[in-house]
Amino acid sequence: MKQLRVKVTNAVGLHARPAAVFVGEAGRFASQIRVRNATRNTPWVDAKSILSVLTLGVEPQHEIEIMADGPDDTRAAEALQQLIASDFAGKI
Amino acid sequence: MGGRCESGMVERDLHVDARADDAPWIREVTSTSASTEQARPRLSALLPIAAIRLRIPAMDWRAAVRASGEALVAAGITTPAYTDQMIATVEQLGPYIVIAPGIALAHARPSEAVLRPGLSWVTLAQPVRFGHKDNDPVTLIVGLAAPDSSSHVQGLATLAELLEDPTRRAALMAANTPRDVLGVITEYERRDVRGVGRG
Repeated sequence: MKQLRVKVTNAVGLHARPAAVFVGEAGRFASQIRVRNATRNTPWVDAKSILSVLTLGVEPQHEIEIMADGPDDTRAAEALQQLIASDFAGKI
Repeated sequence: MGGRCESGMVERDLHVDARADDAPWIREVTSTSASTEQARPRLSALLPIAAIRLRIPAMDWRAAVRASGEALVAAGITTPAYTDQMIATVEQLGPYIVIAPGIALAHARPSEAVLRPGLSWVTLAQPVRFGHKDNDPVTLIVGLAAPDSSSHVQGLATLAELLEDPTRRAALMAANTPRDVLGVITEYERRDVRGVGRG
């Protein structure tokens, strides 16, 4: 199991297109991946569901936690952390 | 004289009730905005009754997104240019806006066509396909218009919570009038305010 924390720094937080890109990246991995908004102290939700990720209400400067569990959990958590840390690397 | 006085009171009461029914979000905004975290507009404040349209006929996904954009325009949230931008987004980026089975979140990048943050709610008479591998066909189009800020994020989060709850989702999809849609939303928001647990 791999758990990481990352601050969201893109202009609009994690909604609509950014959420879709985040969930698309999560879907590339076999591990179960969960995410929560630490700033708002939300429950953990499925990182592979856009609707679930939208419930987190992630705004710029919020910190999220990513927890992956499975065969590729370290790669999955680090890839999602990197995606956010790079402001979605030109994918939005 | 006593009779006239009574009827005057009744009229005042009716007036107050009618106003509350026509615009339930007014009460919500004035009574709770100061206490909600970071004073973000609530879902009911972002979704005017004029932006809710039910069982609209649409031939295909473009017509469905267009109906969603027209509802935004009708409520004064966007100009018609935003509708074209929402359609262009799907043409360029694909059907990722179909965020869950049966639900599309139509939107475009922030632009000058967005007059203020807001949402529209359009259900279709017949479902349409967007070409999404998992979530077709679509019955509900939520139109999202956001300026370049986070003002709408908490309202959108509330909407996602409602749509993830099977009972409330069913109530929303079964609503016969725009007022019924807002009724489900405001009832949920009142629960959310009472139930401490977030923040």
